[in-house]
Amino acid sequence: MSYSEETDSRLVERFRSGDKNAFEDLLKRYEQSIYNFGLKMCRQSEDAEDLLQETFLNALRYLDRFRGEAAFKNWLFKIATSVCIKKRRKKKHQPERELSWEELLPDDHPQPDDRPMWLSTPIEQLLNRELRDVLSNAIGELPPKYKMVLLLRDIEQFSTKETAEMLSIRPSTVKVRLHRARLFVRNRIKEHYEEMGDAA
Amino acid sequence: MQPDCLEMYRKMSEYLDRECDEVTRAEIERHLEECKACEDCMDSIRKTIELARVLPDEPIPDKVRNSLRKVLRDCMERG
Repeated sequence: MSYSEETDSRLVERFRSGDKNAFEDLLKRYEQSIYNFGLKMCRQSEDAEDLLQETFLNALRYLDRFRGEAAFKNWLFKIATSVCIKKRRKKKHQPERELSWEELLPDDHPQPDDRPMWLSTPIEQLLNRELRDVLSNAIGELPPKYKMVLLLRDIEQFSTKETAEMLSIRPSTVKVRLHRARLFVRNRIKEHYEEMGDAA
Repeated sequence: MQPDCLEMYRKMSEYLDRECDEVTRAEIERHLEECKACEDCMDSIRKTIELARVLPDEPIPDKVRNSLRKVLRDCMERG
């Protein structure tokens, strides 16, 4: 059986039985998503590298304590989010900005005559270099607690309940932060297309 | 913005994530049939979610990959 067919639980078991290669298999499976989570959270490659290293070092140190109540991926991302939160505390960042409901409301809400073109265009045609930059910058500019929820829910596709457990917050808080984060990013995309003349 | 639309605007993510109850879901769908602005708004949030999901990954530089393995190997050897 190749490593890609083995479940995470089986790899964890193999590691606990002394097979060090099993950890390499887990690493191969998740290093890319943890690195990307770090890049999007921190926006600096050096910080993303630190986050990647600290996450897997902690996973290696504490794998014996992993009880399997949650999936390995959830446990690993819980470590990554904790590392990320601790790093921010250490850097003594300014207090986090709240995304207020008022700032996310559309300025107006007219009944449009024409449907904006970007809503009808297939994703693969839309996602050019320019839009990738708009999207990455919008996600990057989100206040961290909103960004973390958006990354866990919409990119890593954890459920509301899993995200709430990972971040030790209520599911209702996850929902509020996610909706505001999506509206923030959506507004940036909309502005981008309006600047290009797709303002309907 | 009309009060009905404002109420829709608050619930759009829950609707898209299929996390609202059936009554709310039916109310939203009724409103969307009548309000093109809200329909476009809902579609724009749906599109935003899809775009975020397909945003390509930045590959890990080989140097980073290699140094991570070295650090983990050292940690394993130290036990």
